Amino acid sequence: MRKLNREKRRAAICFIGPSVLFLFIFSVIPMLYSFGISLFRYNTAMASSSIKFVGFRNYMKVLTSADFWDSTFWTFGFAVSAVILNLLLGLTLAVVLNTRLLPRLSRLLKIIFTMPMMIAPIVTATIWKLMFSPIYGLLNGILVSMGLDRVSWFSEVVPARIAIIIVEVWATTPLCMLILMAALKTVPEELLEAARIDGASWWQQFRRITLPFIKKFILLIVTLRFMDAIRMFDIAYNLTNGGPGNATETLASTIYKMAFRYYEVGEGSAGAYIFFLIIILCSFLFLKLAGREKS
Amino acid sequence: MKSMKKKRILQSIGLGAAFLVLGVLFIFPLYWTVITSFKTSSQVFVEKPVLILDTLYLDNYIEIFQKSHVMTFFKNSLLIAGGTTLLSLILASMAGFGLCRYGFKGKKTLQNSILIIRMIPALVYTIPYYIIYNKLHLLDTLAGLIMSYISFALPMAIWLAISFFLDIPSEIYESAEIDGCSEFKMYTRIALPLVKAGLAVIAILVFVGAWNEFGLALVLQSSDAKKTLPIGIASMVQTHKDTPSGSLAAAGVLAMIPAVILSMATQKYIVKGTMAGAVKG
Repeated sequence: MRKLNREKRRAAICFIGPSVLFLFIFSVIPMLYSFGISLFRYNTAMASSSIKFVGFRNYMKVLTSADFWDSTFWTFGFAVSAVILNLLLGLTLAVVLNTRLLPRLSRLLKIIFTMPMMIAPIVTATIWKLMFSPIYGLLNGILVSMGLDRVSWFSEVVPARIAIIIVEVWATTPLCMLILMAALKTVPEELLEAARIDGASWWQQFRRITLPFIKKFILLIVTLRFMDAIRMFDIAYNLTNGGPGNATETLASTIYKMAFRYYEVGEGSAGAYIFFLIIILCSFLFLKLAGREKS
Repeated sequence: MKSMKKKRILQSIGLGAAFLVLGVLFIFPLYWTVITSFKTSSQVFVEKPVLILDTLYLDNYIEIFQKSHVMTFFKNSLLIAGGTTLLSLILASMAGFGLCRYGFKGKKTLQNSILIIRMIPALVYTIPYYIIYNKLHLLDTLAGLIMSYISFALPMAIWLAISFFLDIPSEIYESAEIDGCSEFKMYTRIALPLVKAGLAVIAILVFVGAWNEFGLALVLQSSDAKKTLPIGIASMVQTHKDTPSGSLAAAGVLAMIPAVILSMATQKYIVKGTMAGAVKG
């Protein structure tokens, strides 16, 4: 029996060891290294003799910078609006696609709707760059043909922000739709049938039966999407590059620019750690919310 | 009864209209990109958009193949995403099996640490990777990028693997043990075949993640010979400030192809994976 235990222990080390070692070398060490750097004044464009220990001064510098707070507010505003639109559109699509009136068309459309979600963010940005292009873009073409004025999408604050939200919603709603379609399947058909016989309207059925059943999926989507949206980088970087000015600079792109445009890797690391803290706080909040929902 | 029927028909018409509007909204940007890629520049630069083409011009595709390194980018992306997927799958399935099969002190702590590592934003890693890789001469190499992508993917992959291995009842292992089956054989012969579908889910999520990744590759890869498709396209957009829309669209279409194929084949798995990762994670 004892020999067996020793064999098992060895097997456990052989199976789990490689991953633990890998994560230690490629995740834990870089993470600690990053924290170390965040305590130094460190500019990769300057001679290494200029590296100087500054304690938590980098953190203070980030937390007192207007750029950081501007981008924080915009990132949260962006995330909240994107998630709300995700839910509204995703739910509409899911309800429409779930009705069994046009089954074959439904299946085809489900595949088509899924495409935006699989496309690389940079391609999404490229596609929409064509759509939003000020003179020859399709959107302005439509506006002009309706007798309206052209909008210079990327050189004014509000249009640029709207454009970013549109693109994010376009790219991420398909996932919400697919999850909600799975959610709608968990609503027992008999219950809806019974309600129908009792003369409940469509809205009453949805409000009183469907919604309570899919509530936990909605919470899941809100959590997933929100945590994803506050990390937004690719689309902002490629579509507007933070502009005009820094109106569409997200938290991630602001920190990225600190480290790789201004070469202040110390400050950038401090910013990255503050970003990490914000993410942990948000996850904790959602976990609390999910816990309350269960009880 | 007649009014019921009428209501049904009206409902169908309403639904059809809803389909149409939503379908157009979601699909039109893709359609527009595809047709733009087949236009001549005189068709692109008109104030009234051209919506339907009678002839398809291939000039844009010829141009990007001749003037840029699209094929190199494509090959790099394939190698990097493939390598990342394969290695992550091996490591994660072993770890997932080990964490489900054996009990030991500190197991809970280990699992929770993996969960926390998963939450760390990529930016926390990007800066140290840049500095460390620079010192180790791993900057601008495919191997370096694969290693860092595995470290991004592994926490999620292990977490998913655990959830799939947990579905295997422990009696199966016990009876195999009585038959004198070694621990390694238990993993290869018994456990792996039972979680095949789950491994497919992990593979798809890891592959798509690595295929689409942008931020880290942007920092680590600098030469055209080592760039992946996403940053290759981004640099095409940025170096020629006024890249002709046509060739931009053509590059976009090329990069879309794997996504389109994957989305047709695998959407079921993606939902499964995302939900398993979120619910059990």
